[in-house]
Amino acid sequence: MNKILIVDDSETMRTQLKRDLETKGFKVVEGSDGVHGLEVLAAHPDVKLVICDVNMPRMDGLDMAKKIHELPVHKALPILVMTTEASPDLKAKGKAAGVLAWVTKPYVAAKLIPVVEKIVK
Amino acid sequence: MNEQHSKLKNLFRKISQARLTQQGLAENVLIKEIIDGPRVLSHWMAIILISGRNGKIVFKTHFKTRNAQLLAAPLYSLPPERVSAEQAIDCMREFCNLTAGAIKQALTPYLDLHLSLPMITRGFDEVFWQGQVSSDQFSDRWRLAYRDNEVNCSATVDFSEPGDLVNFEDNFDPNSETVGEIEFL
Repeated sequence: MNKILIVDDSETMRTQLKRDLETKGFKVVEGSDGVHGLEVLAAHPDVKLVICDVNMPRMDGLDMAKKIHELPVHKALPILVMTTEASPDLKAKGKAAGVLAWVTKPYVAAKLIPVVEKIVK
Repeated sequence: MNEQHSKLKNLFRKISQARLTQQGLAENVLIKEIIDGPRVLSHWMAIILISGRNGKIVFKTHFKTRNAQLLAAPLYSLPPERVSAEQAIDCMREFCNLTAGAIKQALTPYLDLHLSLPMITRGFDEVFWQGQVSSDQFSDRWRLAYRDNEVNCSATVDFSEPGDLVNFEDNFDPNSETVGEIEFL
């Protein structure tokens, strides 16, 4: 079963997304900020995709993406950012951090899930 | 209130209505006026700051735990009374975040703005904001009502160079919004 790591400081957002992904057969693990996300990833090295927020306490999503791709084992791990932010500057920073795709919240499951399936499978 | 203020007021109200509709899985969310209500509107308050070089917007939601439980219930697939206070308050914090994000996005062509993390505090802390709105600023308060639930919202706007917004056009249309679009970088 393909495993996805969701990193968001909002439990509400994680719960919604987890439910939508699990309905489609994905296994989901969760982190509540960038630091926690890295810890969860270390405990679940078989994660196939990371979906993360940007603005989070302790470590934001873009810093976390950069740190993930610095790890040789996760150098090519796809990262999808999901955030209320949509500025070109921030997207450029995301691209530099190796972010594959950008979703502006609120997400729409009917649009998101097919893309996730394509990336993971 | 000048023309810019009216446009901004309308924008904030429409965006909050759209986000509550989407997040609360609600239909027929109505915008109602708060006329001569008390300064402290409710027990809890979610606050977010949208700020930049030329000024700031403070967006707040004012609610009771029960309001937040009613909002969160469909998202957690639980009856309202089984939604924990933490889950309910987190849901209201995220509503505040989603609304502020869309406000920032709508104003990005005119202003360089940044978004804070949303925070939750006691509604009574509203008294500490008293007297901070001068004549060249404006504030607005409104109520979003749907089914048996309601959420009070307020916004305070303070731009040192309001001229930046002279060309502002409110193009926000919840029916043609491209929410959830996925962009490959």
